[in-house]
Amino acid sequence: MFKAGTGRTAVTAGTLILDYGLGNIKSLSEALKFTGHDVTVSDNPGDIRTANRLILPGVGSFPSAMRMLQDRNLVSGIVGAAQSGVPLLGVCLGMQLLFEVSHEQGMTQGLSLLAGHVKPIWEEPDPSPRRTHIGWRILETNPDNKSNFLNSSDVGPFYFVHSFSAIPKSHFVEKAKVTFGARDITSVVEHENIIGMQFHPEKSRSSGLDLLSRFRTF
Amino acid sequence: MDLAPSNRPEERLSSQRPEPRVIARLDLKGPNLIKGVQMEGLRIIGDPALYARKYYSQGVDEILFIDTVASLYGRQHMSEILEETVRETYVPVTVGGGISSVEDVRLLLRAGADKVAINTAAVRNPKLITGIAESFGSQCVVGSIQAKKIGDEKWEVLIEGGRERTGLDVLQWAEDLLELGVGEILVTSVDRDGTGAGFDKSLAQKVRQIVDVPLIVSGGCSGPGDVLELCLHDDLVDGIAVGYGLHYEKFTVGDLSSQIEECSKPERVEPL
Repeated sequence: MFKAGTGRTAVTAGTLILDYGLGNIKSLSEALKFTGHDVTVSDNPGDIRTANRLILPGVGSFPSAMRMLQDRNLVSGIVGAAQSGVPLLGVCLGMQLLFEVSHEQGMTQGLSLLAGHVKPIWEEPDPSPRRTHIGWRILETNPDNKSNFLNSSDVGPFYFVHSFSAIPKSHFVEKAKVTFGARDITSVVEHENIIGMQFHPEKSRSSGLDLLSRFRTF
Repeated sequence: MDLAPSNRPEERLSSQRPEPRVIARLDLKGPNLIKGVQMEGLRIIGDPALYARKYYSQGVDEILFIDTVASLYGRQHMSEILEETVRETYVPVTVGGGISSVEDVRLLLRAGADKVAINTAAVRNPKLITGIAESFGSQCVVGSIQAKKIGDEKWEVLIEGGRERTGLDVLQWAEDLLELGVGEILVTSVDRDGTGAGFDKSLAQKVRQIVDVPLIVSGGCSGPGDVLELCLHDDLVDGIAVGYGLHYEKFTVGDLSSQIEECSKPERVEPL
């Protein structure tokens, strides 16, 4: 899409939001458009093949989400695209779905793109002070485990609203966290072309919009 | 739970949890932002999306829209206001007022809402809360309680926009909502709402003792002084929802969030 007046030709940035029927797609779509993405919202597996990058959103329960992804035949498309190097961003529940299994409402298998599992934040050991983690947090990063995506200035604050969180098997995958009482909450994961954000970048004012904008060129 | 004021730095856990949030509460009637005093005497204030944008630019943490008409007709206005708001603001939006089915919630989430506040419908049909939580997650459901003081440390649950008494005890109902699966509790003091007479602190304290989900208090905020009152108590509230004072420009969002930030700082230890 050529942007007149900038002196640059923007590469067609086809960003596909996978709309599998759960939650607020609208805010994400508006935020991505605002940050210059060429946005398509779809639940058609065929559209995955032509997308330059994928966004896996999610608000809701892990089992419902996996069921809906399966019902729409989206699982193999997402996994295939991710394995072939297409940039994939999982947001909130979308980040949790990247992992192998969740302990929400029983045990449910996820997309298994990242090793690790998902469990409630309020459970022992190291329970959080509240059943749900809601609010604005500043990220903690580890200078010995630098992200290719995050800059050192990307501290936020970012808006979190969740009661489950992912626990990656490899600590290198975790690029940022926050603490909630005794509980460490993995906030950003990254493995090659796959990024996950536990917070909502589309709900985190300019800090979040910066990340969404950067995803266009990741 | 010890709710005494904490003035020892090591007890301030603010870096280990979110700071209390400032939530702008916008009551809607049809296409208009309105405000009433003690649930009577409604006055039209203006265009809801305009005010939402204004509070967003002032740094508000979240926006809460309450549909006071709660009819099918009102739902159309709410969707439009929601869509306009999310086009221009990038903070969470909660919607309440007349939500009575999982399908209602699905449509509101698709229109741009992040959370839904359920009040009357939860009393009439408690299983609705569980149904919404199962479909969309607990974090999406705010149990909204209108509390009317009926005695010393006793409050009754009102529904239908504060027009109907239920005979339910607020503290018991808060506990029930928790069991049903809400991810957050919003308690509004019907007595203080629209009066600027300050938050009902004892109501907040009693509810805090029984809920382990985030607690938002609403009703009566007259400014940063009332915020200070609440946050002198460590870990008492997770957020405040404010309408009247903001809409009538008694104070700004910034006035309130500055006070919260002040409260969250560890006490300076005097050098020996």
